[in-house]
Amino acid sequence: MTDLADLLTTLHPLEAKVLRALAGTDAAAGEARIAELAAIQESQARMASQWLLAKAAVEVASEDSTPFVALDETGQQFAKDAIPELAIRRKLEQGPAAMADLGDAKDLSAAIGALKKQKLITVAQGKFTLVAKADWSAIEADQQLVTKLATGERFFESDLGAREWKRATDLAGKPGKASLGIRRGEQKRRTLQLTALGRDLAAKAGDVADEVSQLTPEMLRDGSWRNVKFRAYNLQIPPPRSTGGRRHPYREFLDAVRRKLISFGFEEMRGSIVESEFWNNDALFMPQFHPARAIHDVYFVEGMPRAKDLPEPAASNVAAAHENGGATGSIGWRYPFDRDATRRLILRSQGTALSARQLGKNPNIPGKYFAIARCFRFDDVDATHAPDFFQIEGIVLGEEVHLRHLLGLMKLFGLEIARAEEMYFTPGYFPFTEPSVEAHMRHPKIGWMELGGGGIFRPEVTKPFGIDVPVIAWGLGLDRMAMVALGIDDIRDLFSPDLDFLRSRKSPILG
Amino acid sequence: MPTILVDLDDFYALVGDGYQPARIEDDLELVKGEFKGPDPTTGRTRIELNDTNRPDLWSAAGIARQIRARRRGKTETHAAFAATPGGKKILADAKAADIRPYVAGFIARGPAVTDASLAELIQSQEKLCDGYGAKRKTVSVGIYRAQKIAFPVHYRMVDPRTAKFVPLGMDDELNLAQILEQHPKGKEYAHILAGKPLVPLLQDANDQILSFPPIINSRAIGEVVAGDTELFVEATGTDLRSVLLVENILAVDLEDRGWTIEPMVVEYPFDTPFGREVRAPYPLPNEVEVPNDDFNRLLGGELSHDEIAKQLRAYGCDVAKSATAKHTTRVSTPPYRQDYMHPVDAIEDLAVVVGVNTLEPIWPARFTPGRLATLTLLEDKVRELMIGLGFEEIIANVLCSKVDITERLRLDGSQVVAIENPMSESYAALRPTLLASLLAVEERSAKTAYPHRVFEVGEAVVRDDDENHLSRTEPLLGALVAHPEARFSDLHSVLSYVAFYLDVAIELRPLDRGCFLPGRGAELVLDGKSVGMLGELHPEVLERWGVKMPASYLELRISALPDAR
Repeated sequence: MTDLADLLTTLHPLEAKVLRALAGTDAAAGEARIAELAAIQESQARMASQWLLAKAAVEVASEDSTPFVALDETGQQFAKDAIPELAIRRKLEQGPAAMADLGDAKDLSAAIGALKKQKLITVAQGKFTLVAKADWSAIEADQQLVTKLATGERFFESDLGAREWKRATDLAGKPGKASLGIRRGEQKRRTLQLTALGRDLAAKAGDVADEVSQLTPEMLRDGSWRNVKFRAYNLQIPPPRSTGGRRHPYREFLDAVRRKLISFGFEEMRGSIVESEFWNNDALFMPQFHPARAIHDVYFVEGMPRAKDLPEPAASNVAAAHENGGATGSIGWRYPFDRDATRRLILRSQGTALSARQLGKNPNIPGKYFAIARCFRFDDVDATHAPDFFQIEGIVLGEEVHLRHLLGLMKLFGLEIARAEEMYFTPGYFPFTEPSVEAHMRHPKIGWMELGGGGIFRPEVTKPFGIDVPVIAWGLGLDRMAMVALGIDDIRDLFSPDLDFLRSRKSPILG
Repeated sequence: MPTILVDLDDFYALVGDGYQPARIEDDLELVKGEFKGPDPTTGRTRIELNDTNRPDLWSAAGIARQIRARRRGKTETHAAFAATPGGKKILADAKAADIRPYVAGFIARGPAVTDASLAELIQSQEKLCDGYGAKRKTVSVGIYRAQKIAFPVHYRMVDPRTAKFVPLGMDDELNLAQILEQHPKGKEYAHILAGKPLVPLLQDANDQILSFPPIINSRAIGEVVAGDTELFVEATGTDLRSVLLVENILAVDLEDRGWTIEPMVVEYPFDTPFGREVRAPYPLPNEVEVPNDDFNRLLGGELSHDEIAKQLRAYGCDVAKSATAKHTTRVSTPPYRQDYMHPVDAIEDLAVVVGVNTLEPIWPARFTPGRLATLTLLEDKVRELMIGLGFEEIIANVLCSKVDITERLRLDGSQVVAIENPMSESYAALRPTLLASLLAVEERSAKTAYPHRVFEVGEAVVRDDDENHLSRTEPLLGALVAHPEARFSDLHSVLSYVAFYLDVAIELRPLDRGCFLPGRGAELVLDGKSVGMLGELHPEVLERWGVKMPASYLELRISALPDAR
């Protein structure tokens, strides 16, 4: 009996109502009937019945299903306009026509096939013609059927004439054929009855109705809560789903990186997406003939406009650095620097443009700066290339800064930001740094991957801005790690517009 | 960054001394190379070379030379640079000065060409022309069967309709204009000669045509085959130093494979940076003077001067005391390198040969305060307020299609900054508003339970002819609500909540804008300036995005808030 008592304490009022409704009738009852008897919604009756079935308090007494036919969206359209066969006839009544002139209605080619088979139309030299004096009555009957089906939601056998029912079910039974938008369905019906347990419960369920489900302000005011019994909850019932405000999972990842960089003493840089070639490339000592600067590697602003101003003397110093080294101690790239092309406006292709700008802003020495910058490259968009993407990079300025500090920083980034399990370095090449290195790391989930690159800015990059101390420049490639953190394998999903997808991403704790 | 194919046995033999590495990756660090595994079609090994300034490393012979130097502690001297020119000449044309001024060539004699060595030679030629010669624009190379040539060779500028010959890959005689129009290489490289009334032609003393540089060789002379033992190797281009460097590299690669190089002289009727008579291979200087302390200062190392010299020699460099400056070292390389622009370049060589992994990583010692940009702090504040109100954040791309803005949002396109050379129409403009991004979410998410309350705080770009870059990058708040009862007031209330906590007094003024229902759009005004918009989205707009739910939109220019400054 304890089981029964347990069940009773967690019995939901709806369940109690269903039990009593079934106890009050001799026959088994369907959910619609139960709802009527219990004076509750049919959906409530279905829900409570489901719970009671799970508790074996009720059982299915009978179950049957009744076939019906109904129109889908295409069929509704056919009912409004015309079925494809009749639409074709209307067209051809105006004279012979080619396939392309018959329009682009749904199921057109299937309809043409059917009409040819029934010898209602013929085809000659790619044009269709109506057959004279043909019998279109079957087609017209189909149209009447479709029109009739549009007048209601579901039609059972009893709702239609015998020929109509046969034709409708025949059409609906042929998937992929010209089914005229008629589909077939089964309406399931069942009746339920009490089990022995259910009868016991029903006998006691009368008490449940007197239990209280909710504490109210009135009860607290008048003290009546002392005299009522609170129904115990069934903890296994799933709650309604909550949605709420939330940071984007990729934002969480980027914020975690930002937090780390702040903690390492880096100051943030921001800047314009539309950038001049000067800041994006020339200030970084990338020669104007560099392969990565061709028209097919960067996006230019429409109309090829130029920036109005470049800062002096920096712009002249940079030009001299390219041409002959200027005052940088270099012999330069030794080519005539194009002072017009340097002003061309492009979409920032590398975050290093912000580092170059920082050099021109009288930066702190010692100083550390970073940016998480939106960048744009001329690439086909696919699973590894988003239309635009974030680059994470920065610089460190200091009298005593050298290559080992760069290695130390990269190692710090690897261990603290990227959760590297092991790291090593290889020599690298970037036009704006010398020496240059690339950092490789073993990620717990991805395995060996490239963490990023860095180097010491060439004097040709720093001296035009009057900076005489070494400047470390570094960049991190964290997209794959972001993808792992978010559980995705297509980089475009970092920018997904699908709310269900975003809601399904977990919120991992990111260092 | 070229990727080359090497035959490992051939490569090991080129290194010599019984070279058989346990891990080739370690030695490839010397050349900034990455081992990319076997090539599926040829079975040869793929190596990617990362240094675009070291074309001498873009061949098996070049990589082998660098590895051999470290194993032997020094590099060998190549006879090609000391050898005396044998009397064969190339005569250049005064008219070349405005077209393709420079030419250089040498003769190589050696073991008969094999299929393998021919493939190797063609690969070198292609990598140098593509990667270093800007796809033949600044340098292109031609290799010929020398026995068939009567010297001297003439480098002439001719009318493209006059000269004709049978080009490689074809059976019929074509004139040069026809080659540019019909031959696949002609079509590919015609742009290099676009607009030139005269074009280059190489002819021998008997007026036989060798080639039409930089387009295609003649089939008769310019098709090297297995068994050939004497080659004429020329390069033409727009920059003499680059032309000579390419010749130098090809010469040492051949010499390392057992060929003997006979230098040739080009006679110019005009002055060149290297005089009027220029030999190839040419002893191009590549040297820097490095203050002794700078090595350790930049690398953070503690190497003795002797150790530095020893290591640099093992990288193939020559090391001596500076003739002019005290406590300074002159570092130079053989003439197949032209990458020394500044002393740091020699310091990097030292880092590479010592091995960057032998340097112990340390942290920068000086304290610096970390700090977010003011704009970012403000963005974060706005995000926090929106999330507190139950809005879900999205992040969208900044690139969009122009049609999204002008037609699907019914906005005036004059604010749009578009791309001159878009890759695809879908990403041909920078978004001037976040509305398209948020409607894209609605377009995609009809199956997600309503209400939808979404926002983005992100950058947009607005055209502004008063600005230096003719545009402004604007961080914006965009917020959209969509549900059966979505109203203006939903987001009006959000705006007033956000404005209260940001401590700004924003007024609304009527706004007639295509994206909003007439009479239900508002401009946000702060201190007399427009700082955004708010309104019920026009059903026409919703329809164009396939959205079947009423929606309202709020946009606030974060950079226009007083705290942004």
